[in-house]
Amino acid sequence: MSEAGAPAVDPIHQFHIKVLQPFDIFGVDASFTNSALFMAIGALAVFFIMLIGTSGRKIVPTRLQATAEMAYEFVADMVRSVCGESGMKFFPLVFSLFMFVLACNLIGLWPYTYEVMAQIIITAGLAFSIILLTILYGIYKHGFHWFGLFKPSGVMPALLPFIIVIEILSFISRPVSLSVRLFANMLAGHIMLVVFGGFCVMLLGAGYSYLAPLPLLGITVLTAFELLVSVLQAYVFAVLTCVYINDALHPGH
Amino acid sequence: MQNGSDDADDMKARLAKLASDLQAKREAEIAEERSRSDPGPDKSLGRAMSLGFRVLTEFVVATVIGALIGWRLDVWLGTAPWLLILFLGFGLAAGFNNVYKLAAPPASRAGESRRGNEPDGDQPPQ
Repeated sequence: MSEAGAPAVDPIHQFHIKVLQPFDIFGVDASFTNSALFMAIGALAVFFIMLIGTSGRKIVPTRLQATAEMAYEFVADMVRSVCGESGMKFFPLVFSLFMFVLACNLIGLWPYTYEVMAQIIITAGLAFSIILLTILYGIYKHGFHWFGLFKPSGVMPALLPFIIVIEILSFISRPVSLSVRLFANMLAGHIMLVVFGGFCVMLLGAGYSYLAPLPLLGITVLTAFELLVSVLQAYVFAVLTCVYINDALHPGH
Repeated sequence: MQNGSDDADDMKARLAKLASDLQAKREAEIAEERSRSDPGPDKSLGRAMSLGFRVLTEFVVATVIGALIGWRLDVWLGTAPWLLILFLGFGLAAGFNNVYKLAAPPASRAGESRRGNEPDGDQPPQ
């Protein structure tokens, strides 16, 4: 209603990129933004949790060590069960991806922080790099046979051109769905939180102060739900990375 | 001194035993998990949600990509709207294909690459 109140309930406002330190390399805008800041925080958080967690190596682990070990075991089991023992050479990649996405999502849940994974360029950058890696590795490992991924066995020859087009479309949709899923979940969740917060403010402003705690209760429930979604989406991102790497390792299936 | 190295050896032996016991336990757990397919109630919500999101995005994205490719080809070749219609159909088929692959993982693959200890040719030389 009032001019000052409008930006406070603008649910998109939280995703605005702010330039913190203008930076220009040969005409390319490489400014240090709030998005870059929170990515750096996420990466450093993972780095220090793992570094400090693994420095003690006690037989009875400390809390931090237990965290690091659980994260390691969780991802290692996931890679092993999806890609097999030969996929373990991709374990560092999958582990870094999982921890980075998880850290960014969890940090983004704090008030006044920035949700990096609600920017589609970030998730798309991650997803397309993964797919590029699997393509290059698949061709490096299997040569021309890798393209057999697009040709399922036991198909009528007359139908083959259609099937191949469909399989190629399926393959192209992989990085897009991988990035859109993470991005859309985080974006929708954070918009929902702000919208509920806006309800609270508007009810108070309109004089229905006895109703205002209801959206607040909703925010509490939604925050718990967002915590679940954050972890889940990081997990799904990592699992699908494993699935795609598995396709590069064993294209014949 | 002598005593200390004895202790270290003893500790090493105990650690090795612990490691082998843990390995055996983990294998038993994996075998058990594979034999019983229904997850716990708290796990099933997360699993169902992630599967739901996957089905949704895989289907929608494939359709949209098919439509986009058809549209751009139409603009490029000036054949509107035929390639859009054709590729929309392909995109739909690709979306169904994605969902089908999600719903029905090939039975032959479940046995060999789930567990992953199969001696395939991809092992790096030790």
